[in-house]
Amino acid sequence: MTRSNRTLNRVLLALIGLGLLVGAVLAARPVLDPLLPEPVLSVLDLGTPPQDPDTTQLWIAAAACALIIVIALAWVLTRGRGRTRTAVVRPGDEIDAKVLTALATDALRTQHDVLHVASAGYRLRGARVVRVQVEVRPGADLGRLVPAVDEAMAVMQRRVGLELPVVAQLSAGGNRTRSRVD
Amino acid sequence: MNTRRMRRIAARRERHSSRSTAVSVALVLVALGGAYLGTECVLAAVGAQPLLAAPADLVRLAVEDEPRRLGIAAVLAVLGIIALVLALTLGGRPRHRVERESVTVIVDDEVLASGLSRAAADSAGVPRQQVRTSVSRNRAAVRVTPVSGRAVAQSAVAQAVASAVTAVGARPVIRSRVQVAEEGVIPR
Repeated sequence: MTRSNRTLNRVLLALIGLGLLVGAVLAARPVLDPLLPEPVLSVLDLGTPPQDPDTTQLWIAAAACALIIVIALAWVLTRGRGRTRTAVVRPGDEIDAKVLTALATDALRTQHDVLHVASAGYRLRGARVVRVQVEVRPGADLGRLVPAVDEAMAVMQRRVGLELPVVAQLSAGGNRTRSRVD
Repeated sequence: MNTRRMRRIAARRERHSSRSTAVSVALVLVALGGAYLGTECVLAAVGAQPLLAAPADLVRLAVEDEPRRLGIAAVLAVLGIIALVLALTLGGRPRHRVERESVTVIVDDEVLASGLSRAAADSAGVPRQQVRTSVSRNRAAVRVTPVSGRAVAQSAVAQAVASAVTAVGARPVIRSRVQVAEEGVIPR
């Protein structure tokens, strides 16, 4: 769970897809020209590169490429943000995600099916969300475990003294042995 | 924004792909293509030797050679359709949501399947290795292979699995189906 703008990701993918399809149509013009109406052909003529570009056109093309590279790299390098070390901000103090991990681990210590607990804070739409990852043993009794996780998160929130938006993910623990907090 | 609404938004993000990887891969490819074309344009503009082919030669190659044009068109069309499908489809992850009082629990389908296998195995009296469960968005298919010489009551196993599904309360709702193999095996 990151702060990536998912709608914008999809808009960008759609634009790239449409751009590629337009490129495909331009490349396939010898086959498609007899099938396409005149107005479409005149639009496609605008997208056909000049066969012998002059120096100015080459510099414009190079600048356009540089701009595309900068935008593409800036987009790629700014993905996945939103995770914060500080999971909770209260008036006057802040609570580190490690504190929540310790509280959640302690609250779930009696659950035999729980192998490992970790938590992290995320900034989402101007607010903070706590994500607790609970790794469970294969064949865990979920009918018992899910209410236990609910109770553990209630205990954690009571000890913090705030009602927090908490999402807990139950995932398979694989071969991990149980980590203990004594 | 209230806590429950934030939980709902966060849970939705956990259950659906952000498409960040697909966009990043596409943009890295675009950047690499742009870097190559830009370099060729600069080299041609200053009158230097091209890396592979001058821009005019690239255009000529793409325009004049018809089989090559159609090949390029086919590749572009396939990539374009893949990008559009990724943009327009939901991109759900194999996870279910359970709303509780203090928390929204996101359960990996693998964990759900494993839990249902356990319920089926306990009910059928077979080792867990003899139960295979697959969970999809709305269905759980459980297949039990009995121990040789011991009958398995399909209805009892189905009841146990249905109870386990109900106890979890996952959304979207899952319907379970239990199948018992006709031939048993000797447990190892």
